[in-house]
Amino acid sequence: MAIVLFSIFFILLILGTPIVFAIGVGTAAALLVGGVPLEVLSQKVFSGLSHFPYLAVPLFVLAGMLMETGGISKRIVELANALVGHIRGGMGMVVMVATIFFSDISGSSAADTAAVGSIMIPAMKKRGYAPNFAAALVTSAGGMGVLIPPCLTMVVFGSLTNTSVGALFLAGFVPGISMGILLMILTYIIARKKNFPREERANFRKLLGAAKRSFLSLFMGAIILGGIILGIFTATEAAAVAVIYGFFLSVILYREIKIAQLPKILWDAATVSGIVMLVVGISYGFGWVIAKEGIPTKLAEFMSNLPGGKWVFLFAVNILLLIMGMFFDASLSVVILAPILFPVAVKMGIHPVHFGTFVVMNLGIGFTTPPYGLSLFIASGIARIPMSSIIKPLLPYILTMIGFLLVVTYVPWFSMVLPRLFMGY
Amino acid sequence: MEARLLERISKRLNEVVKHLAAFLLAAMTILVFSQVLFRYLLEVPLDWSEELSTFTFVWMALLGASVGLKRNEHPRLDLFFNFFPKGMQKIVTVLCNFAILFMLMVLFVYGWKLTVSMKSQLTAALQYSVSFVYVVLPISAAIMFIHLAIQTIFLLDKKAQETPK
Repeated sequence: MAIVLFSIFFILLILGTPIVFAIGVGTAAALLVGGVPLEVLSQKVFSGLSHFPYLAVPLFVLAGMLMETGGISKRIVELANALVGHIRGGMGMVVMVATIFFSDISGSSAADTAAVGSIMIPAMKKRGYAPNFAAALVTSAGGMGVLIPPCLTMVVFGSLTNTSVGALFLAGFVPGISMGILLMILTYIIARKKNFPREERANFRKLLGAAKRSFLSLFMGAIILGGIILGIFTATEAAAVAVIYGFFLSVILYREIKIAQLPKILWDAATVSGIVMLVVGISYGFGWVIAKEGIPTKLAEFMSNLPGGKWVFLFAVNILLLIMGMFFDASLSVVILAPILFPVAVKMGIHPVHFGTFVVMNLGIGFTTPPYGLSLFIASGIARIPMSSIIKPLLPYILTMIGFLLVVTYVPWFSMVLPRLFMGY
Repeated sequence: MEARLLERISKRLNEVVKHLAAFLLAAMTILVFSQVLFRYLLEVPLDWSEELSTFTFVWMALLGASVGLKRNEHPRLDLFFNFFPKGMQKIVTVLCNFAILFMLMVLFVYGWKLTVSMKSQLTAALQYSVSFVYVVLPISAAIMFIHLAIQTIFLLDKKAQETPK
């Protein structure tokens, strides 16, 4: 069965079939060959999707679309500028800090990149920064933003593997902020070497004004994370609160979105999340075949017989995920790899929350790498320069991220510190 | 003429589905939000909101996926595809579409069987037949089948390609 599944999957994949159908056709054919009743596929799609945690996917997509409006990102950039603009290479710092802020209210890295990039890339060009450097900064920031909760990939990973999404959100926080700081240090070093300008230091009144104006937007992040930490609501409920809050902010308070625009936002959000959820649903059929064939067990046996067992496994997983991340969307990679790798990781004694964190981190780096990095794609679109021209200034950032990825992989403290502190893991 | 009729069917269908998905998403949001409100502000936890919102979600997700298919937005790997010559691209797409149509047929037929066989099973909280939820499987599979079949007919029909979109 597994051979049929994988050969059909790869053939259709290479021929350019939508990936969800490559998985689906492969699974259906495998069931047929294995003499398994085909109801299994429909049954698995249905039972897979009927999990309450998944509701966070459309809700965070919708919240992101409501918050993506120009006004909110402008306020966030203004605050970031007042905070770090005066450091050398100030606008680069602003990109990082603004992305951290924006990731804190949005669940999708694509939205982070688009929101911050569409303001910062033109602004940096005007200030004399090379467009490809500006685009590289925005791209790498997008790769970091995945780790900062809320995060759609974490929702998918958590629900698929029955790991607490709230715990994953907390787990991403410290690695995300640390990565942001590392990327800012790197930017500072580059800025010193190339003598990039600094921006005027904001006086206290200006800073206070900027903080006041962006407070309501940033408060959403506090509601989501605070609500989960305090156990007031689950990640899914937090997502619904975020939608209502985002609606209140952008429709009623700031009046950036007209009521007449809402249906389009709603069906766009439904479409985007439907695309993600169909893959997730189909993957339950795929996962069922994988499990029935005992692939995770065999892989775990093979891995634990290798010298260095767990260490080699973690390294191999990183390499595999980095390559997957180069070609596939993050949720897709999770959906394909989690049924195979997650049981192995658990058998090898890796904590599910820790595993989830560096899986997501890996796929975040995948956002920044050619040929299919989503952030890279968006940033090059905004800067109107070819992707290939961004790669040179981007390279030190990618290497830094990969270096830190290895640290997070082998030092579970980074991911586990907050879940341990607040949720007793 | 026929080609345009087919296109209109696909488009109309999608319009209806789109609005329905939008409505379901709005309803789902309000349901989940009320769940929090009722628990904390009114201190009367709703015991049925999680079930109803989850089923609303399944409906919305599968209908949304069909809109994604209509818009050609399901991600695919075009790395190799782009290197194929034009004529081959068309043949490959048609063949792949047949494979997908086969899978959608499986989802439709067996989804329908499942729906019928679950008729007398009731949901835990609200006590209605689970068939009301299961039926979205064959429905969405059929919608996707219609969109994709029409797309494939267009690929095969030279005349249809010449008519402006």
